[in-house]
Amino acid sequence: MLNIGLAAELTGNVTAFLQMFKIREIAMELAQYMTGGRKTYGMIMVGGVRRDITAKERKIMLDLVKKIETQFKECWEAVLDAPNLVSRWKHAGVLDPQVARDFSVVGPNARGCGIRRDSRYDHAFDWYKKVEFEVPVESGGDVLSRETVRARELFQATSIIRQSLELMPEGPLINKEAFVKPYAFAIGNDEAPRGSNIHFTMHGTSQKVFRWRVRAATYNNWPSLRFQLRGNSISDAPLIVCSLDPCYSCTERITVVNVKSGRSKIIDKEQLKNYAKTLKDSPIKEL
Amino acid sequence: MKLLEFANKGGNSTLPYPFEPYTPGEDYRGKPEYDFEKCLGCGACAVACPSNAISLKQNSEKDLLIWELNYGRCIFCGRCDEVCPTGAIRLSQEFQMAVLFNKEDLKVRGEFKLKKCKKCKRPFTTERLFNYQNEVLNSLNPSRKTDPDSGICPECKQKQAVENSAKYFHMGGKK
Amino acid sequence: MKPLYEIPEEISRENTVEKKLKHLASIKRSFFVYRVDAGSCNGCDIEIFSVISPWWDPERLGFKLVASPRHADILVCTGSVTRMMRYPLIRAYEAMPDPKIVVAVGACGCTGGIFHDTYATWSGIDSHIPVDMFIPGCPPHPATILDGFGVALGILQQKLKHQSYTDDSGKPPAPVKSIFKNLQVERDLNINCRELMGYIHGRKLYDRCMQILTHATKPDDISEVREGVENFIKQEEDPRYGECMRVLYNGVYLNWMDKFYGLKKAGKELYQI
Repeated sequence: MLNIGLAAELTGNVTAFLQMFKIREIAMELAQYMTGGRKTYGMIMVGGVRRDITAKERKIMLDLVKKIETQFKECWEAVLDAPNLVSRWKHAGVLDPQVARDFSVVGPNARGCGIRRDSRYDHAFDWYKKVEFEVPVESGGDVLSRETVRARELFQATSIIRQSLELMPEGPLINKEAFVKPYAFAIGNDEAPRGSNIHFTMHGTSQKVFRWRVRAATYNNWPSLRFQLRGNSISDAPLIVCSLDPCYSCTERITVVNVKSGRSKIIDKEQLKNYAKTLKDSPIKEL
Repeated sequence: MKLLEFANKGGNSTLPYPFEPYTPGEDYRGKPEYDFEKCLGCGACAVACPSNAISLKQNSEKDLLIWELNYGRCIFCGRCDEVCPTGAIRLSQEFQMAVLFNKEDLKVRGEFKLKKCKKCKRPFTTERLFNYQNEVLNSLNPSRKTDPDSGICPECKQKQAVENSAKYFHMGGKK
Repeated sequence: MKPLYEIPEEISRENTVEKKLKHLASIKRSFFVYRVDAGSCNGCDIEIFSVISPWWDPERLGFKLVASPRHADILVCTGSVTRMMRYPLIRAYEAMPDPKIVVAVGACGCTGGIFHDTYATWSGIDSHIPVDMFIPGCPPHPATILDGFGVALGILQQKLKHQSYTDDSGKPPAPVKSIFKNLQVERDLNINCRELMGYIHGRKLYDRCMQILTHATKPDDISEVREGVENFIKQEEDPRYGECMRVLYNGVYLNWMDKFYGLKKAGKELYQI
């Protein structure tokens, strides 16, 4: 919803932006009833979850989900009704399916080009195997098809929430016997609104995390941007960048490895801090 | 236009805060409230806090333990609430936390008296925690006799236990 | 290490506290705000977008977002400063006309938050420019951000003050007394409540369980307690509490009664719900 609102604002339609954010506030309230915070959930721990959902909360949540669905349907049809908006979104930022395959683009960018990839469907785990949903796919590869994919996914998401609330099994929340062996590692793959994220974790000796590495979805989508920008006017440029849904802070996790020389050196914390802050006196100059 | 009809149907949906009060829903994770009377100075919250917002330090004369919570570093996760044994820190639904000009207003502080070891005279715990432990044990067993070795820090207790067992073995297993 | 940014003489001369307060009191038009993100996770920025949405409308207080720091009165910053965003932040600060107000939003902006001791960030915006208002939270609720603007304009009073408790009498809080012979029964009940329903709802479940047990004339009387639990399950409209109470009764309570009085196996099955 955030992305559709921002894309509408960049084409000049500020009314649609504000109405989308009004509906989004209802979704934030839904998250607050379930987890206690609007954006930072803090629910998951090793062996289970931290909070319970009782019948009072379940009733409120079902009401809110219904409200979101009806209001969003109306608003989306109203947005598509404006002919100047649709004509600006069509044929802007076209992504070729072959380019998308080469750069392994994920998320609504891939699904807008006709490639059917969704890690909830391809690598289903746990509860996702028991829930029924579809993967929306559009061909066309331009901004309009990507926004349409996002709108259709919202209806699938509300259907998943409703099915989970009605079919939830009973039982305890925390499994006391959960114990992670030292130096055991695992790879987790999940679908976020921007695409699929991959986490690698390794546990240490005292039930604490020892190593952790993330590959966020924007890291894959970013290099395909220059093919999307070719042939469009400059005023369409922020619209195309926004429809890609970039999360700049997700791309800050880059490491550089020097494999030519075979030497290594241990750097202590103060040297690393000084170099990262001022870029002078590099401690790895001799390597 | 359809969009204008939709906007008119929604009407004026602005909440009247800040001119009228507002409460977020129940069980919202807001500002942690500290109750000094119930706190024991055990330090479980300082270990559980992921961003080190709660810190326990001795003051410079080494006779007081200072507990300090900095709201600027708090991430409102609720882990201190989960582990506190007496319920001294609980997350409320308070959200009005803005501070103008003075950064010291973001801190809460409590001071505890330290208990010194009988033998080596160094502080090893707070008076409150020591007295609480005695009261709980007394309430479970009213005819309990006080242990002559209580009030000693863990290092001195180790040495005391070695001496006691050496005496026991010297006397051929008789008390 | 090289010292951090030093504010030029003419800017600090114009920005004393009295001049700023006078400026705040005399704004008779909308105050113009310019936003800088100095390396945050974008959570606080999305909450700033939420504040602009129609539910929490700040435009009735006079808030207006502008595109250039040269038009702005107030600088709103999020994030703890990273190396690449250090210079743009200083340029924006110097480009604003005097006297100016700086607001730091979020835990990362105030003191560095959870990233306060990493190698990649300076911790907090006040390591570089003087900050006038701190809004803590991770991310702050939009009502908190509105509260900040209200305090700055004088509509609301600041609620948070420094608190310091210095008189320690050494007297501890009173310990819990057990209604059975043994405190371990209550301890087991508490642990199981927490495992069944999480730490918030587990406390509510524990309170209701103790209510049923103290309501009976003797807590050791199994048939009376059984009646109490059955009544509770019938009257309670929330099926989750009823189911967890049944698990507690069958699992914890009957096991401890077995240990105290030695129910035979057939007797124990008779008492189960």
